[in-house]
Amino acid sequence: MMADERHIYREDDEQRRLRALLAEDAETPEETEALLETVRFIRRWDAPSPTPQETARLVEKLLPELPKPERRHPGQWWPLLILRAEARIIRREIWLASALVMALGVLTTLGINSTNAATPLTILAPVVAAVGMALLYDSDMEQVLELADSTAVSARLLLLARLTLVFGFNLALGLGGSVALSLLRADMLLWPLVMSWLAPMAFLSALAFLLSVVTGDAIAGAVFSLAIWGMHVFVRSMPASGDLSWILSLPGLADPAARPFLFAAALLLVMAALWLAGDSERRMGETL
Amino acid sequence: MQRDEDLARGLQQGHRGDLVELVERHHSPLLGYLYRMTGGDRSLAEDLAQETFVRVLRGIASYRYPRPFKPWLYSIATNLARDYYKQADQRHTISMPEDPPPDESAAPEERLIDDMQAQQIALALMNLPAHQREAVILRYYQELSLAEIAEALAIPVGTVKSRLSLGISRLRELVLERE
Repeated sequence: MMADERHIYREDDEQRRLRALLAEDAETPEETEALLETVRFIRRWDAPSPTPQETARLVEKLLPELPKPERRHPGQWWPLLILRAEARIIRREIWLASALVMALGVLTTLGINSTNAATPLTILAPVVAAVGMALLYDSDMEQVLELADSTAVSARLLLLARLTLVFGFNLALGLGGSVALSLLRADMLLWPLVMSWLAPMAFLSALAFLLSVVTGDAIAGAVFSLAIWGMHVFVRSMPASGDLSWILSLPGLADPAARPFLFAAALLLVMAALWLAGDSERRMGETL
Repeated sequence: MQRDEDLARGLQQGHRGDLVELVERHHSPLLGYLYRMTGGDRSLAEDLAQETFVRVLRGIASYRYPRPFKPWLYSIATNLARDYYKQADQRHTISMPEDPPPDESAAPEERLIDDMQAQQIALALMNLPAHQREAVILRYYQELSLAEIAEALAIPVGTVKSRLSLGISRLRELVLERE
């Protein structure tokens, strides 16, 4: 076959392929023909091809990134792999600060003689959790972006994995502290103690998380939630007399009757935050 | 020939041969995609292509067989190009298309016409909204199927079709305007 014939054959072949593509995309055969010329025209813009040497050099550069046999995870459940990847990118300071503040809460509660519902642990557990949750949606972190780009799951699922880790960690800390207190102090029962901080913690964490997603600012989410909790603690610590007595008659965040509503509200807030996080990501992709 | 998905599974096991095969198979098309996505900036396209493969390797543990590999590869490349444009937009430093690679086999006057056309096409593509440009390049240069594009861009097939329709119609207008 002559060179010219090969060229014509290649052109015919390309035209056939393009026509087949456009037939899927266009509404009518006429539209297909009309667009074929445009597509053939834009395909005149050639892109450079790497030489075999350039490809070999790229492979050499990539080899250090190749998973080592000892790092293999055959058959490992993929959610666990995601959780492990997320655990690596959550700032170490969050784990450390949460543990320290919670330990402080337990020690202070041990040191005081009050059996009041508002123990330091009860006050601090929601604070720690709310701050940790607000810091979850820190989309500027390079590692967060890298993981989102390279992982074959949605950003929403990655965020949910991060949320599970941080909330789970704070929950474990709170439970550990409560178990320690119930063992060390005979006047403190485990279940009432846990329930005294769990509902406000769930609600304030979810609120902080939602606000950080809506505003795109982790600090805003944390500050707003802490302000609500601070106000609650302040008002509840006031004597039940005078002008503020009507406020005290309202159900508070630590009120046992309010717990089912707080849990339900927390669930709704987290769902709304996850939906918004995925939605904003999609809109970003569409407008870029 | 082994499928991409099988090679990806080999990567999870740390098989060097599978890495070589995947890179040899996808380096050139990926470079072409990123070259056009960046308006003809070869060195930027090379950097982004390398970073795409790096991210594939870093994320390979989370790859779920038999998820199609090619859309995943292109989704990473697209995200990288988007990140670049987001950062460049913040710095106001998006560069204009550079001269395309010369076709040494063509006569000088033909080369000049080719270069002018390439510039014209690059500019027309860069004038498209990014989401239309991505779809058009994936479809009409990379020849990905509608389902593969939908997966790579994480959008429904219907949205891919509407982006292609709008993108190619707009390109047609832009090309006609310049003629």
